[in-house]
Amino acid sequence: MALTAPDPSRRPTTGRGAATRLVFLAGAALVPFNYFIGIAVGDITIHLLEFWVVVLLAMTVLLQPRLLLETTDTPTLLLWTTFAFVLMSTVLATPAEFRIRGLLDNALLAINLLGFTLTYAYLRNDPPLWLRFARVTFGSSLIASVYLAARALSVAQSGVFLLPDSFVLGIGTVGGTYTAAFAALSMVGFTFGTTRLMRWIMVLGIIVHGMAASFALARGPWLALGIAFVACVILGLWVRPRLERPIVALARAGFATLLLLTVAFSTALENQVFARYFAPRVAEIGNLGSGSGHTRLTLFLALLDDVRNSPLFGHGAAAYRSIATLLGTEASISENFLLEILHAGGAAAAVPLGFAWLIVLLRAVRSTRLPGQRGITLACLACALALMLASLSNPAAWNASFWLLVAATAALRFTFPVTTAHRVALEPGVP
Amino acid sequence: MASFTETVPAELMEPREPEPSARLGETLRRARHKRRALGALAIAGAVVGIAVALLLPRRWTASASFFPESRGSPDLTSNLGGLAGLAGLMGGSLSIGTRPAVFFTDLAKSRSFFDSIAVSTVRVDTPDVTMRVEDYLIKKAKTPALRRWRARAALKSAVKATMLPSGVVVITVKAKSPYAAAAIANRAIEVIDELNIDFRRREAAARRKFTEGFLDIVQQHLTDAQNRLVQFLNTNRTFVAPALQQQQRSLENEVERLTLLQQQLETSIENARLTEYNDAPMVTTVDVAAVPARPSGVPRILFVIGMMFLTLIGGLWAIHLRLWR
Repeated sequence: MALTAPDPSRRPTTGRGAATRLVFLAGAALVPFNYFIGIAVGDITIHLLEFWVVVLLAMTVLLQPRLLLETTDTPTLLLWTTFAFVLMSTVLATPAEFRIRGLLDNALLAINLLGFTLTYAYLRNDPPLWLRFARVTFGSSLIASVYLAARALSVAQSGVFLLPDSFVLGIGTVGGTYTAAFAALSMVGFTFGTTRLMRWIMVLGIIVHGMAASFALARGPWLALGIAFVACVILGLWVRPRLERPIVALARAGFATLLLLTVAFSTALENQVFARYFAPRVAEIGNLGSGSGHTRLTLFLALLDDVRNSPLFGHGAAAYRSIATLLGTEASISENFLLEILHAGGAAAAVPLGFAWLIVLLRAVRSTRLPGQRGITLACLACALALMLASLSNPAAWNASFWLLVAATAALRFTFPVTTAHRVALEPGVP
Repeated sequence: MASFTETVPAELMEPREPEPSARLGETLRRARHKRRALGALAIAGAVVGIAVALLLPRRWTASASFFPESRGSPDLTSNLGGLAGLAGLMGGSLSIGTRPAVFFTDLAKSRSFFDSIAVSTVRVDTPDVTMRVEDYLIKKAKTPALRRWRARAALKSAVKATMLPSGVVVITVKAKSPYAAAAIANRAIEVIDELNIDFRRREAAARRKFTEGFLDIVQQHLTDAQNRLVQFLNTNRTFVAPALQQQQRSLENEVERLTLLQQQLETSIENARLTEYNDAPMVTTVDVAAVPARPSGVPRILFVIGMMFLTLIGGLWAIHLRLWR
């Protein structure tokens, strides 16, 4: 399989390089499990990928010391600019009672950004590794979603519910975000898949991830899934040249939607306990006038109001907790990563973050112009878009899995590059 | 595993884009070359930061909180039982003073509230410096009306009311003086209480007037019923028949019912009159606003270091993006 013309000199051929690649792929396997497996240390939960980042960083510094320098480019630099401003504001502005927590938040952000930097570096340096990373992650995500769906079904049948709202069946909003993102990936992958095998695997993905996402009972991720899917289908139909006729792509998109809805509603019809929770969540999908939607909206408006007091440099990490406490909402969660960064580091931190996300998405959009790889690139774009949108309504972006998946999307450009030669071949007349 | 993707012929591939290491290295090399300029830029940023930090007025935030006492407290009119239902049928309620806590947060956004604060005299600086709030907030205005209008706008942005889940309402005031912030916050609670007492009085007076009108009608009906009973007794003194006995009982019941209603209405009028003269506080202060020890808003040091950092990073980005060659 020759996706690109790999430069043999760039691929690690030594034993040490192979070991690093193995550790790197272990991270890919951990991505879909990271958000629900962790070790609680006091108030803080340490997840597996955080250990993985430390180990991979140590191995990289020891074995491939120039790798990070060689692969660092605009998105990575923008993200670290964000971190620098958030750290500065935390040290200088976070109220004393929240400063320790703010510094811990900074440490977690640094680990997550290191995860992004390392993943991006490895995938960029070794383009063929991207497909292995994608296969391992997707395969692992199927196992994770089967486990989550089975556990949720068991909870629904037992009648012993865990926590309120989206946690009632044990998955929650963050789990819902990742399963919905993988469901969006599967739906778009099925719609624009270029091989029959890929489409069959994506059907399996729609069933498994769709079931887990519906069990999550999380409205924000459902909306993110819908928006990401529609946006990527429109993009796929718009970007030229096309391999498939629009009517075929639309029929496949319709089938993917129908399959997802069938999976969700048939489960609800089969299990009355699940239906009792599922129906109101579906009915109130856009309700911001009461419940958790209203609580989030109130918190967001209060945070925006507070941002006006320090628009350029913010109030420091964890400073939002004083507002959350005043409002009587759960103080440990800001529920909107971009808004939290805006509150913590001001425009100086939020603007680079917004640009970094935008560049990642635009690069993926650009890669969709290569017809043979459109299915994969659009599917990855849907996954990243769903993750980013969902992170505006829950703390999914504080998990390292988010950054590894975004890094993989950012590295698409180097895996499936659209070169001048492609443009000439695909669009005659381009100088 | 079979291939997910199609193969791209190697001959279509063109040489890779310039290595990022080359670009990053170039950025670092240029940055080293321009280190004096970058240093000057950072110092200029710091100077701008210092200037802005010194020019921006300091702001002080004070908070006071209260609990709307009327919630759950027995009201003078709460014991009227069936009469309340009767009044409900007629489109009203006899319960006076039970307001949800959210009413108090909305009240703190009303024009009456801002105007009452604006005309209040509070301490605005160290002891003995007192001033009307509108004069303190608006130093110059062509007319008193314009001053009031601008003071109202200034208060609208300075005073925030938030309701906690427990029902406690927090009033937060931002001002240029710590004393003024605390004094306005405390005065805000007093104004809310005064406005509520005033509402209670006006509501009780309106209720009393309505009940008095209703009482007149009831008394008229009672007089008519008594007359009908007297007339019945006068005309049926000698006959004792079951039908006549039943009619007599009906007339007596009607008189009895209207008498009871009259008594209840008289009690209601007395209660409303009591409420009109009741000046007990409607709210209980939970926290009195203390003079804040530290200014709120952005710490000046953050502004200075932030500006320095921002210009330095901006310069590095300009070099990296080749906007600064």
